[in-house]
Amino acid sequence: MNRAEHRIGLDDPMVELLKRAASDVRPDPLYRRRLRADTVNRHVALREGLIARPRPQREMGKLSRAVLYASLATALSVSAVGAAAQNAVPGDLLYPMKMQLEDIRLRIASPALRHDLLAQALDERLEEVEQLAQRGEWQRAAGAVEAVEAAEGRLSTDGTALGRLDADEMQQHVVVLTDLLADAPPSARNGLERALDAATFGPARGASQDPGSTSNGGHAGEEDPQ
Amino acid sequence: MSAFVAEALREADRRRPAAPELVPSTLPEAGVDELARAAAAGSTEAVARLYDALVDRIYRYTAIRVRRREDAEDITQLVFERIVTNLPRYRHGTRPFEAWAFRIARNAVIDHVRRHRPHESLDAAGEHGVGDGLDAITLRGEAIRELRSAITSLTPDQQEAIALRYAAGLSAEEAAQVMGRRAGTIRGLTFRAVASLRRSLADGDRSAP
Repeated sequence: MNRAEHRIGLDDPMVELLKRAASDVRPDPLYRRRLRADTVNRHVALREGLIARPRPQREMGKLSRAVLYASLATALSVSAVGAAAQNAVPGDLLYPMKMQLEDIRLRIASPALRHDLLAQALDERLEEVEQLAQRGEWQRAAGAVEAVEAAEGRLSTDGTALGRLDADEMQQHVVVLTDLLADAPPSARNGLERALDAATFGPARGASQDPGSTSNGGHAGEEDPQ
Repeated sequence: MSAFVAEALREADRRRPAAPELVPSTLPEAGVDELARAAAAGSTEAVARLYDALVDRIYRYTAIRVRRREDAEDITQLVFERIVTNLPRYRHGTRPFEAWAFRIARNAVIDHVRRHRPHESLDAAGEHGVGDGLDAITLRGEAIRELRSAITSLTPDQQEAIALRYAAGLSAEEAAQVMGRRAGTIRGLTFRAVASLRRSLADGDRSAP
């Protein structure tokens, strides 16, 4: 315990006052009971597979994206090298090929799919940063942030709101990145904070265009009714 | 008590269904981290007990950080959705579960503030602090009312530190993990916040007629 802690002990009158003020704040009992039931039900639904968990790293996301990939990948990723490139991260030999495949997909996709692909590209870039950081390759992770910002910029200029599922995926990145930020060395913090900024852009943008959708764990639609 | 009433009560007792037999807990003395492990493994009882252990403190923290009771309720709900959904991602052993949960709560508050003030920076967002949140609750006593206005003059970091320490009930080490700072920094922030509040309230007393 340092000097400051000695000087503001738990019995300090000001600390007592702060605790008294805080102790007045309690949830409404009915709300509390209902939320308890919701929380337990949600846990059971997730456990039983009735609600989809956020996808684990390196797995495909929504079904529509899987279908999209399946059809495009047939045409584009015919070789084993092409398939291997899908798992490449910045700095890997196959990473430029992965980027080229994404670029080709974007060029040939219909306008209706363009936004999904852009959102997916941002998701991929964030996952790459997270993967590198989780492996302790902090400098490579920080170096990969430029690609994250570029993907976020393209999504931003595309001008379409993120759907709720996209916004939820971005939220998962926020959770993972803030977790990683706590362990990051000082030299990598700035990069991770920039990635975090790009990830927090998504939910806010989705929220502004998707009012009323507060269920399903998504926060994207919450709007101040005032 | 009349015979009629006594008979009615006896009749009600007879009709009351037998209380369900209590299922003994499989986690009688488990701490929060242990409950989190059991919850991640699928235990419904552990999830319910985690909720019981955290809900008041998470609600108190969010209520103090945002303006309105409705917002605090929405955010608390969101926090528990995220906790349950992300349980498999919690890395046991790396940091206490409470610090992880309050980090989710802090992020949810920051998201909320950003969404409602989209042009405000994150630092400025912290200025929606304890003082505003206390509008939503009933306060007892003149001293607490004065405290409410004094708190608004603290820096955002100081407000965050005292919300985590005294509303959420976290240790300096846990608050440090939530804020991504060192424990010493949190102690310093708390110390300066308390000293500043003490000064503000003393000045208020002196200037009172």
